Amino acid sequence: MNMPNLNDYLAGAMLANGFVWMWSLILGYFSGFFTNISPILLADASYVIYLLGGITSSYLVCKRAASRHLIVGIKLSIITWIFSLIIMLSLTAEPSIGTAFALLACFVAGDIAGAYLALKSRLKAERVQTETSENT
Amino acid sequence: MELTPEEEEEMIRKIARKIHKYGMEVATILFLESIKPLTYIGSQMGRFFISPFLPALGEGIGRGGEKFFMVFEKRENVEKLLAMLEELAKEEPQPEQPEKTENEPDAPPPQKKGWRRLLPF
Repeated sequence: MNMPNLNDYLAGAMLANGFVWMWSLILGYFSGFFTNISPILLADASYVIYLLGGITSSYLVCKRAASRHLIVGIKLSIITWIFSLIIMLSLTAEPSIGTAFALLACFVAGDIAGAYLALKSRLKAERVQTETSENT
Repeated sequence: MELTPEEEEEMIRKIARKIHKYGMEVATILFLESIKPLTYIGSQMGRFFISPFLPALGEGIGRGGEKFFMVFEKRENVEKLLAMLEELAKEEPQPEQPEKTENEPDAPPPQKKGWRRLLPF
C-alpha cells in the first residue's frame, strides 16, 4: 500500500510553515502599508493564510497516500504544529499561547480539508478513467 | 438474531446507495477509513448505549438498529461498504427528475450536485 514516508511529512510541514513565515515577513516588510489596515482584518487574513498553508501541504501529502487520508492529514497537522512551535519559540521574542492554539486549529482544519480534496480528486480521476475506458 | 450473508450484503448495499444518493461518498470514505480499526468497539458501545432506546421509536427501527450493529461490528463489512462506495463514486450521480406541472416553463432548472440538492435555494 502506498503511504507517505517521513520525508513527505517533513516536506509538508515545512511547506505549511513556509506560508506562515512568508506572511510574517510580508507583514514586517510592508508594515507601513499594513498600519492603515484594521488589525482585525489582518488577523483574519492570517488565519486564512494558515488554513491555506495547511490545505496545500495536506493535499500534496495526501495525494501520495492510497488510503487513510484523514489519518495522514491529522498526522501532518501535528507535525506541522510541532515545527511551528519550534520556530516560534526560537525566533519570536514573545511567543504567545493564543497564536500557538490558533495555528493548531488552522492546521488541523486545513489538513482535514486538504485530505478531503485529495480523496475527492482521486475518486474523480478514477471516474474519468473508467468513463474513458468504457468509451473506447 | 442471526443474519445471513445475503442479508448483510443487502443491508450494506442499501446503506451505500443511500450515501451515494446524498453525494456523501468522499466524506464517508474519509471517515470510515480512519475509524475502521474501532468498528468492533463502536458497535459494542452502540449496542450498549443506543440499542436499548431504539425499540421506543418503533419495532422496525429497533430491529433495524440491532441488525446495523451486527453487520458493522465486523471489519470486513466496513471494508465491503468502502469498496462499494468507491465503485459508486466512479458512477456519475443520477439527478432526480422532478415531476413537471402545467404552469412550469419549459426551461429545465439548473441541476445541483451532491448535498446541494438538499438546499431549498
